[in-house]
Amino acid sequence: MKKLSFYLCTALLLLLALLLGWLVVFTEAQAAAEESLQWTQFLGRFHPVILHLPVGLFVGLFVIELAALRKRNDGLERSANILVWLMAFTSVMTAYLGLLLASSGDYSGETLWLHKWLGILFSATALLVTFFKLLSLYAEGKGTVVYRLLMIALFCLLPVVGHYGGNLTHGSDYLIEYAPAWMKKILESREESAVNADSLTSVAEGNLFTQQIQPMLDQYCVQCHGIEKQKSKYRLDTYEYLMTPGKLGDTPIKPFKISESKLLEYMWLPESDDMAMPPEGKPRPSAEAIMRLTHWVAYGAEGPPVDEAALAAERAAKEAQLAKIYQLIDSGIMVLPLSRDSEFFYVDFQNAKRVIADEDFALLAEMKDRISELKMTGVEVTTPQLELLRGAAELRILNLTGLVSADAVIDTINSFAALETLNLFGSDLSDAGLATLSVPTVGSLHLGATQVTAPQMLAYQEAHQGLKVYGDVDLEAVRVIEEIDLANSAQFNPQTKK
Amino acid sequence: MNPYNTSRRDFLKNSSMGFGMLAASSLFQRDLMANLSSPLAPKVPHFPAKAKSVIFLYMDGGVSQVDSFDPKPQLAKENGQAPKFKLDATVFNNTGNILKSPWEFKNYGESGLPISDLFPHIGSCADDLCIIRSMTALSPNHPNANYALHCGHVLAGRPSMGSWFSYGLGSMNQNLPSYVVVNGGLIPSGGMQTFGNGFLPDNHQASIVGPKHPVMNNIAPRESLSKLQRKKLDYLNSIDTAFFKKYHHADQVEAAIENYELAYRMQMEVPEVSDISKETEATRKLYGMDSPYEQTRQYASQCLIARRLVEQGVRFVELTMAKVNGADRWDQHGHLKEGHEMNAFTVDQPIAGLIKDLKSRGLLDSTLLVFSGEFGRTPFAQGQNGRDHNPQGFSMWMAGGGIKGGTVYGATDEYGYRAVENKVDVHDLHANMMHLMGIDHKQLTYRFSGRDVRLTDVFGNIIPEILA
Repeated sequence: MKKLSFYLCTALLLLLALLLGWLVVFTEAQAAAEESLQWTQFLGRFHPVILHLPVGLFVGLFVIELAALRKRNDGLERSANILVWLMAFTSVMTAYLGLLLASSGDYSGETLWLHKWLGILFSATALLVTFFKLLSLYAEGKGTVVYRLLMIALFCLLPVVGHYGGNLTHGSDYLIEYAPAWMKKILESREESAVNADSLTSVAEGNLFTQQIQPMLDQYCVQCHGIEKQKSKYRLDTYEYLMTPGKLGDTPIKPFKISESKLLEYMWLPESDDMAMPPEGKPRPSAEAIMRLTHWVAYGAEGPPVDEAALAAERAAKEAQLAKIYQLIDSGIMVLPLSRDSEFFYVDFQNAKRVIADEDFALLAEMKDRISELKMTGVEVTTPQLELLRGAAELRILNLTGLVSADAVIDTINSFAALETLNLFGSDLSDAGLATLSVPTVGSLHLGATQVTAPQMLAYQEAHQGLKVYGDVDLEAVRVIEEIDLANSAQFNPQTKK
Repeated sequence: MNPYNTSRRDFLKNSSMGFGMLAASSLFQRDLMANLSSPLAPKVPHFPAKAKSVIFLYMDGGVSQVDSFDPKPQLAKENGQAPKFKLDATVFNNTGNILKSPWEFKNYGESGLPISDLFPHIGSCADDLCIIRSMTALSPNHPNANYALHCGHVLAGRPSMGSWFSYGLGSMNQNLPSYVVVNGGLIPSGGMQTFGNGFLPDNHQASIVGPKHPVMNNIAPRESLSKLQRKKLDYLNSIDTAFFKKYHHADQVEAAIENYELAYRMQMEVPEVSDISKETEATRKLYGMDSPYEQTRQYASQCLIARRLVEQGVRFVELTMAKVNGADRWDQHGHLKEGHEMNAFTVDQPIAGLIKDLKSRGLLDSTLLVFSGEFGRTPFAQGQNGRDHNPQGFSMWMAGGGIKGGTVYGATDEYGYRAVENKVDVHDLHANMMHLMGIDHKQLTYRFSGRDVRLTDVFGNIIPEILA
């Protein structure tokens, strides 16, 4: 009789153990499927309620066993028997509900993992404890030592499991939030290292959008607002779509602007509201999850991480470009963007030494299509140097005042198709050189103080009506004005005055 | 205090754009400055500039508008009669009768702008001028009107516009100051404050040079070896830097260090740039260097130096008048005819020469010429033959970079007394000057006394009609 019930009880325990094992596997798999999500969530929420049963029962059992150590007593023994069984049942129940809660997706991370597996360990140990209690009962004291050791193990395990569970529910600093400063200091300094390591890894790989926001949207929204369905022409499956207005003209997410982010409004509405999202009957994310989303928007709705390597490469390329500009500036060649929004440069040889190094010109040639205005006065520019700039497509203003051997560079100048102002004042341009010039066709050409003769200049002006050709100032006309002016003035006409 | 301070967001935005965008970004700004380590390092304009330099032809005392650029036939009709219009109090309140202009007006150029016989040379450049006939002054008194014209405020102590240009744009030439006054001898009424840098860093104050070569005293080094001078400077520098470190940030000391360095670099450049004997005979004649009148020759020299400075990339050049008794300024409270004639004779040919020379050299497109007094003069006489101050309406003109030549903007009433159409004030003038130089006058600010202060305060309108 005794033996039979022992086997029956053992079988029952085995069943419980099998159930526990199966639950672990089953709920893991269940997490992937979605049909029973609502039940999962509903039941899962009872985990924090139920878990107090095995805890209380274990504490009761522990106290009774302590008392029994002093003096064996039938009443105590019977109580212990009842408690150990109740504890076995409720701990398996708790584990199951905990697994359901974990699979609802509201919790994640290392703390959950620890709590989950320690909880399962606790349940398994509770079953073992029950078995050895049974054994010691029926086999007259056999296994008592193991039983007691396991009880001690459970006693140690319980606060650890409970701590991680508490962290999940209340946050990790809940307990010591109002602790005295000295205690806090000791506790935090110990905990800090752990926390730091944790946050460091999460920052390194970490992006709020990819880790939390996107999974939440995928779970609750994308079924109807994704690649397959786009209800009301809204899509929420990528970061870009979150910023794209849909049918109602509303933008789901506007960074920094909670009140203008319509997605938040719809998600915060009570489930019964017609506009509530997800709609009534569909699984809804937890308030915490929506709060997290809101928080994310309020802080600018930072997008998924960009390709750092590509960015770095781009940056490096630009740095290299800048380095070249600095080298030019160091050589006295001013390179200045035309304006804050311009991609083109004004290049001025103002501060350069008289002779320009070929390598500086080579650098300049690299950016020739970015040069809009080029002032090369007061320096000795050679024909081969200027040739390096051949074809500069955006060059509009070219100032070569005082250029030596200008005739030789006309061919190069002709390659500057966009030229609008060409200043060859004071250069040694000759009639022959002018004859080969073909740019600019509009704008202005300055030929003062060159070797170009007056008739040639006139002919060139005649031939290029869109262009204004400037020669030397008509000094004779100035002299005429001066004479009349003097003649009219009684005060400044020394001749008439005397 | 960087006028183009950009946020980290802007930087990130820029860093994802092209090469050109990056160059214009704050990164470039900052590093460019660092590379040149000078407060006068060139700065990127807000928008593409039409003009790169300004030459301010300051007509000290106030040219009479009805005798120069604003013909009023009504004055001839009512000559000698008591004014029939309501008069404001004038400075001397010695109000006489209507006084017709002693000069005839002629129409010049293709635009046919009427300009008086006072300025036949400038008349020959009429098609390059934009005459604003509706200019108004903020004060009827010389010093205050001067502060307003130069600094945008009637009280002393604000930065002069040249300082603002220097602060906002820096200079393309690191061996010359960015703001130079070529002084003919007569410091404007109101004193040196008209050229002051006010609360802007001291590096932006005007450098005042003389009208004749070598224009600056003591510019030649006293040391026989340039190494010796460099060593002295380095020692000075180390003392200043030590002071600087001890007392943290001190604008004046920082400016002093920079100014020593600038002066060191100027030793080479200044004698070179002021030596107008290198100009050809034709150029010298063009400006009036061979004039029988000494003052004309001096102003011609000032104009030539101004051109040479602008050629070298100096941002802002102001020319002041000569200091001689009787012909020092346009302030003819009496003897209008004699005084104005002498003054006009002094500046007419040199200024016209400057315009023509700049045009020939292809520099007029990038140089903004501004011709203005601090106010105008009354159309009625002060006493018998003078004219009192008139801030209600007067003429000024601009020419060159970005200005629509051959145009008239605004109008005064039939006597030339008050501006009645398209009134313009100094803030508008400054706003448009800045606009042409690529500066948004609303964006260029300096934090002083708890405010982001602008040259144009809270005023200033861009006038599209005068812009090319």
